Amino acid sequence: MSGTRARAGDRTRLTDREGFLAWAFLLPTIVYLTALVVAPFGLTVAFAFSRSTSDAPSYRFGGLRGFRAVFGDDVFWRSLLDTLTLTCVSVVLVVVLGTVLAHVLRADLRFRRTVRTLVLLPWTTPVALSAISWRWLLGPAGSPVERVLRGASLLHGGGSPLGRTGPAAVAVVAAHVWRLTPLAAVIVAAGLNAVPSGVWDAARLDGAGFWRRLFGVTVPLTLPVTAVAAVFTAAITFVDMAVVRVLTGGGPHDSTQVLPTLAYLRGVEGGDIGAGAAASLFLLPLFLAGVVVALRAVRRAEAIR
Amino acid sequence: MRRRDEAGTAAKAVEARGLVKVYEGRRDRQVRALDGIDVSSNQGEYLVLLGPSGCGKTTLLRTIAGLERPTEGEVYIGGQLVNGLPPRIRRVAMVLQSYALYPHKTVHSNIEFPLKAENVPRHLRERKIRWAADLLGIPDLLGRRPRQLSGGERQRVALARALVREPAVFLLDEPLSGLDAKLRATTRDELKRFQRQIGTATIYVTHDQEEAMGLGDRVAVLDAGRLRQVGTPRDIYDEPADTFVATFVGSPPMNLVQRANRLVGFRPEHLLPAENVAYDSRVTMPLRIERIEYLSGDRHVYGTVTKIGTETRVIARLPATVITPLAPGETHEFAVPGDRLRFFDAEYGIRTAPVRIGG
Amino acid sequence: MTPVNGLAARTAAREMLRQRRLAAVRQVVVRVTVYAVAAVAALVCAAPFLWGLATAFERGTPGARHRPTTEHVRALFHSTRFPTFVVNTLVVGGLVVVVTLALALPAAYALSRLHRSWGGRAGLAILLVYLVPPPLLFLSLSRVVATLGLADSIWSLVLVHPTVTVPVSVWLLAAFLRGVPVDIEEQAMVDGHSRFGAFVRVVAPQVLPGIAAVVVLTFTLAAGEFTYALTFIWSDASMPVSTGLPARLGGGDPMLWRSVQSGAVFVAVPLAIACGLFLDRFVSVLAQGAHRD
Repeated sequence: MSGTRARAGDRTRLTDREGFLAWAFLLPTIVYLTALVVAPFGLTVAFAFSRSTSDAPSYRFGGLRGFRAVFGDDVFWRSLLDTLTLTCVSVVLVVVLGTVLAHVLRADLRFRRTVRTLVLLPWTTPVALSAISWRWLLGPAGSPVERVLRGASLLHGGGSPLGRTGPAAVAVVAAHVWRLTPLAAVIVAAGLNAVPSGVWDAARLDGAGFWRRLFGVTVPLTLPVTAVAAVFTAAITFVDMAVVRVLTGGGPHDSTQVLPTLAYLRGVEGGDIGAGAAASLFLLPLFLAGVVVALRAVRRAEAIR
Repeated sequence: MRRRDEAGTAAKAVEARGLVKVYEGRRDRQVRALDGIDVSSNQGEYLVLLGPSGCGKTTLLRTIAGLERPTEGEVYIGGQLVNGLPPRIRRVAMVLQSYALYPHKTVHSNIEFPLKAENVPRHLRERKIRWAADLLGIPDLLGRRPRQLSGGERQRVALARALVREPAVFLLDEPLSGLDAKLRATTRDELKRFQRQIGTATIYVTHDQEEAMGLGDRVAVLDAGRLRQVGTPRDIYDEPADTFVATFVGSPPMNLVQRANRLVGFRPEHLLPAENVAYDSRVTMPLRIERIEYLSGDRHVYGTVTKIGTETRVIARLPATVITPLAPGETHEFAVPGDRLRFFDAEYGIRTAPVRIGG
Repeated sequence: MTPVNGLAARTAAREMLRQRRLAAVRQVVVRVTVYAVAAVAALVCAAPFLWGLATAFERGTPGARHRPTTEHVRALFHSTRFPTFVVNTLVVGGLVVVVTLALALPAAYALSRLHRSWGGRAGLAILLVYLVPPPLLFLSLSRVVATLGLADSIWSLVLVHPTVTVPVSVWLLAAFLRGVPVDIEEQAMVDGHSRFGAFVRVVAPQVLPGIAAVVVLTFTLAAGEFTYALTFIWSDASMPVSTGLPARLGGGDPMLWRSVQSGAVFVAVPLAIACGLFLDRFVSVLAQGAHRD
């Protein structure tokens, strides 16, 4: 009898037990993400209340010193506002253009492959490198954009468009929209694919014209996935520092600084870890807002089905 | 219903002339989904398109609706050429196989959608929705959303949505395929009564011969993008135009026995023990019985016939009234009334004139 | 037929003809619009790179007509450490891919197949981690990296980049895995494999195309990451392309401009082509995700 039990025990190996497998499979990921995301996040919060600097990196409690330094910093307020404006403008443009592009990507085109590869360029290229290309396109004397602006007498005097406050800000927005529209298009296209094709036929049979199909059927059905695209766009734009660092370097005169570049400027280049961490903590509210929107979108998507 | 006989009583509800639809596949491979179809349906008629899956019947329906453009040929609706017109202007209503209800709209808004598209004023819209909902017995469902409905209820909503447009023709694409077997039988009956009540020409696509024979005023049998035969269910069954129709329609299918360059066909219910067939002009053949199935009173006798042609496996269906004792292993003399024999060309399968069979 | 009916029929026919012409015109307009939008989109998306490519072989000032030259491209290889940057990017990207798959594949399997009561919440938590912005973490992670002795080494990136790639990969792979019928796996278990054996022998091969897609995506994300690379690495020898090339511009040598931006084009094109191959798969998986979750 004990022999039978031993054999039975033999057969239910550890690898057959779902509960064990589930843990064993998930644990490495959970441990890794906890160690390198959750814990550092706590550390950032701690640093925000510290007087640590890169010269004396060990932790010393500093109370609200970091925050006071940040609040007293004009550039901080400007960059906070800039970051919000940049994000909102980008999201609106990206969602609208991305939806249009999604329909085009799904259309039955000749040269479809070529078009799609070209359209993917902005999304797949490392941001910093596309920022270099943009700077080359916009910046130096003789670049196409510079010549067009001069020709339309929108640019006077010497220097590049990126050396001026207005054009530099527009350039940052343009680079972000250019980069994220393809991503939004792919997400929205996926949402369009998920709609059973009979629904499009039904709308045509029901006699709905283009606009009614768009606003009566397409938009409501892709609303959840459009929300996801918006959240992704916002999350990526809000936290990106590559475009600003490479395209404008935050200039001219810190007019295009955003929160992430400011955190880097103060925390790494300026050496004030406390102030840098405090500034970066202001990225948190948008992260939380993004989470809420994402969860809602998921729930809405569930409700419709 | 509005009378739509402006163009004269001669106008067909729908007419397709020489329809060809070619799909470009990968690597220049072409698929001829429709290969020269001529078919028409009369006012108020129930026309069923019957065929195996992939025969082009859905493509034909979609081409009539304006969802596909034909490669060649013309579509007329109410006597007017409608090629190139979007579905909206054709005044057709179609119920798709999946019903395709808008998942984000309530039943009420689903039915209202085509009315809004036509800019019907609100009070008229409400009246029409009410009328359609009452007709289909779904007034209680108006506030629900499609995912809260059963398959049968969805089908009714889809019908109501099609109905409110007061179309010139109804196109139904396998509307019963999403329902379970029990519901299918009752719904089939309702569909027929519903169409009688509305009196609108209806084209109905199905692969189920029972549905086709039961519902259709006329049945059009399609295979491989070609029209094989159009006729009343009785014509289709009794006078099949070729061996495809003969074997596709009827269950069990028609027996075909090769005799020289002809195929001799007879329905299983006409192959009876010889003593049950009137003596004059019958054709007898010995049947070696292999197996007998008892199905709801009938006996299905599986066996092999010889003498009249090549030795062939056939099926005989004996009604309960035939009480001749039969057992597997025996050979029994069977017979078919001479006027029940059908003849087809052995090579092309086309119906031919009768051939004298002695015996 | 009465004359009145004949008139009505003729009017109807004329109306139909008008509608047919309208529909034909409308169709042409739609077609032209779609092509125009596609052309404009493709052009705008490629514009910076097209300009970059056009000027990479130019002599003298941009736009001026001269004989093409390869001097700028040669300078890219001689005066900058472009080859080193590329090798660093390839090594980091490759290792990140390996680490990501090792972590994400089992996790995705657990989430999609081994139904636990906490499965849904765990999946959501992993996805939320993806939304935690790197700029919130780079200060503290740079301390972590320094403590581990990995500062200014490509290993710091191999350690940290998967924080970005693992959550996305888990999500994508879970969607792919849900696409594999459970029956196949159960059949393998009935045929004598353990759960684990069934996963390795039957399920994993089925999601191979999905895994390939995730590999491309992970590599692209790792190659494009900027914040961590900027913070952790400051010497040329360890820099990846994404910070190495921009850093050459900071030096302010205008002669290098063309060379550097041509390097950007050389990196951009292969990545876009690789991702283009898998676009349909991403779209379908995103669609599945939208459909099921």
